[in-house]
Amino acid sequence: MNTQPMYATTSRNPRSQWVKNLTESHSWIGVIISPLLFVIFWAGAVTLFYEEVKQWAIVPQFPVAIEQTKMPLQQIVEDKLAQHDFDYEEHLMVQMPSEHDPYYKVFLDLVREEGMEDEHGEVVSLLIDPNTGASVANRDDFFLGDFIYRLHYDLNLPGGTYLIGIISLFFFFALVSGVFIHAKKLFKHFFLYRNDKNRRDQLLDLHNVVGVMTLPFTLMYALSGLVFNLAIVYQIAFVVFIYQGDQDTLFKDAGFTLFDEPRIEQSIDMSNAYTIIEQARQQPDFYLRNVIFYNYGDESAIIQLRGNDLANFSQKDEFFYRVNTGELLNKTDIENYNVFRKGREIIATLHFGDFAGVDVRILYFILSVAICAMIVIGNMLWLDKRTLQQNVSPRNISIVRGLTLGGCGGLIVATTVAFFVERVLPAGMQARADYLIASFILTLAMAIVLSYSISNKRRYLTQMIMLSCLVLTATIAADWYLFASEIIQLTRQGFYGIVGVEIGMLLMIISGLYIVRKLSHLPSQQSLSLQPVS
Amino acid sequence: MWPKSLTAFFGGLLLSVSMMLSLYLLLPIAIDIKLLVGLLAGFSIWVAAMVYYYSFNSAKTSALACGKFLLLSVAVNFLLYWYQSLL
Repeated sequence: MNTQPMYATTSRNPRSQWVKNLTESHSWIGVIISPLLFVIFWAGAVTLFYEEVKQWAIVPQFPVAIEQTKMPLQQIVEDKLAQHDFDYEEHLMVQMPSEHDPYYKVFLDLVREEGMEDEHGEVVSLLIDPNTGASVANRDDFFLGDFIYRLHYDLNLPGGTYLIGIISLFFFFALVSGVFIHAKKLFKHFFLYRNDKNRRDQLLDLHNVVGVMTLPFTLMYALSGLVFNLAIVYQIAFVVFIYQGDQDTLFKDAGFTLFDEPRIEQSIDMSNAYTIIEQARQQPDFYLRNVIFYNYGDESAIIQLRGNDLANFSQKDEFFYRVNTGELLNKTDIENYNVFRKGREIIATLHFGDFAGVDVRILYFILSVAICAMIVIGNMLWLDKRTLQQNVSPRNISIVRGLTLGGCGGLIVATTVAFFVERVLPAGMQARADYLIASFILTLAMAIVLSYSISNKRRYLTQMIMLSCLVLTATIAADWYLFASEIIQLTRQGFYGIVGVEIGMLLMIISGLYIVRKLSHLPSQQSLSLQPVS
Repeated sequence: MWPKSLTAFFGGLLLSVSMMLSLYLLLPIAIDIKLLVGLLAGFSIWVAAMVYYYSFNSAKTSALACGKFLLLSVAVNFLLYWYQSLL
């Protein structure tokens, strides 16, 4: 990466040279992290509607009649324990139904095979009808929501969490350096968009306007992304230098309660646990999210209840009870909280935008898509500049061009294909999730390969947008062909997520067609920087 | 660019860890607040250091600046640890 020729002559003004160095770093770092940054923001934008996407994918397949009598939770859990080879040394988690998701989800750690006791065993995650107690599916069979969410935070790759953390760090750097580069014009040119100027000025204005206006949002995302993905760095530093290797004490100081009591091997009836759970569910302004059982069925059994305090901003409550005696062992609520843990929860709430209604998440979505556009525009500026200056090899320019067009555009096409596949694959199909992942990766790979082989880049971009619109139209059509009566019934019952996702897809189609129309009206001199210059 | 990036990434990391430890030892506040401040300040210092190191003309001057700050910060760490051990 030779960047010397551009500023071969040192500027006389040190400040100007300082800004030039930062500009150079900003543009190079920006272009290097851009493909993954686009993945993070695009997947993050879709993940804002994680609950709705899950509801759209699963509920029409297994509609739940909410007016029916519900089966007692104890009976559901104990039936599942009888059906599976549960490892009683491990904990058992039950996720409660919510307004978006009517099913219980039970996670069971199975007994490990002989000789593999040290490894983490198989975990069964069951989706359970609350009325009949029947396991309708394996939770991971409907993988679309989780796949996109994981794409956002670890790219579905081992070690991906740290890679995303490093990308967040360089994104944070790009933001701060961008502020220094643009500092003089930050307020003066706050809303400046020179429509009458040349293409480069227009692109630069767009990059700057989006960058400045989304700055509080992007700074929050960069910092929160670092806290989630790269906090391990400081955790290690604290453990080594302050806690002398005692990680448990660090966790305790950070507000994370750990109960690690051995089993006594004396059986008890667990009814008391379910009485406590029921009492918690009846509390006003409290939504019980999940329950974790430790040492199930043993005299040493403990239950951990986790839920949201609906009366206070970003307040996650947690209670530990000893099942045998009903004694409250530990609680975290609005009056008893740890500042570190509470701060982390506030950061998470701001990150996910789930502190208000769907309107805030729509606003977050628009901002995220605007940042995706800013990333692409940044790359276009880089391509324009390097192509003119000819200080970067044509091979590198071609790689950036291909990744920008095929990678970013292909990601959107691949997402629409994944939605379609999630909808049309039969619910009981073996390795259903694998087909979904394969369809996504194949589409993305194909889009990238084609972006290098097709010479007319503008036409290729138009074709990708049209294909996305077509696939989304097919998905909506498949929705109504396969589940028309279920969608109507579920909407009447208050499951608005399904229709909400369809409206979202419809808006994407309209936006796509609008962009195609605009692209077809662009004069030839306004050709994309994604187009190779001859 | 690559040598400067290495300085910015690792130099920034070491400096942020060192300054975060000093903050931890200096701030007279509850431990849970210290941990939160340390985490948020740590990342902010890391990025601020990266911006500073990238602003130099060459990787060599950037590495020199990094070394100076790091030495100073580690010296403060030692002083603070030594002072703590006396208490």
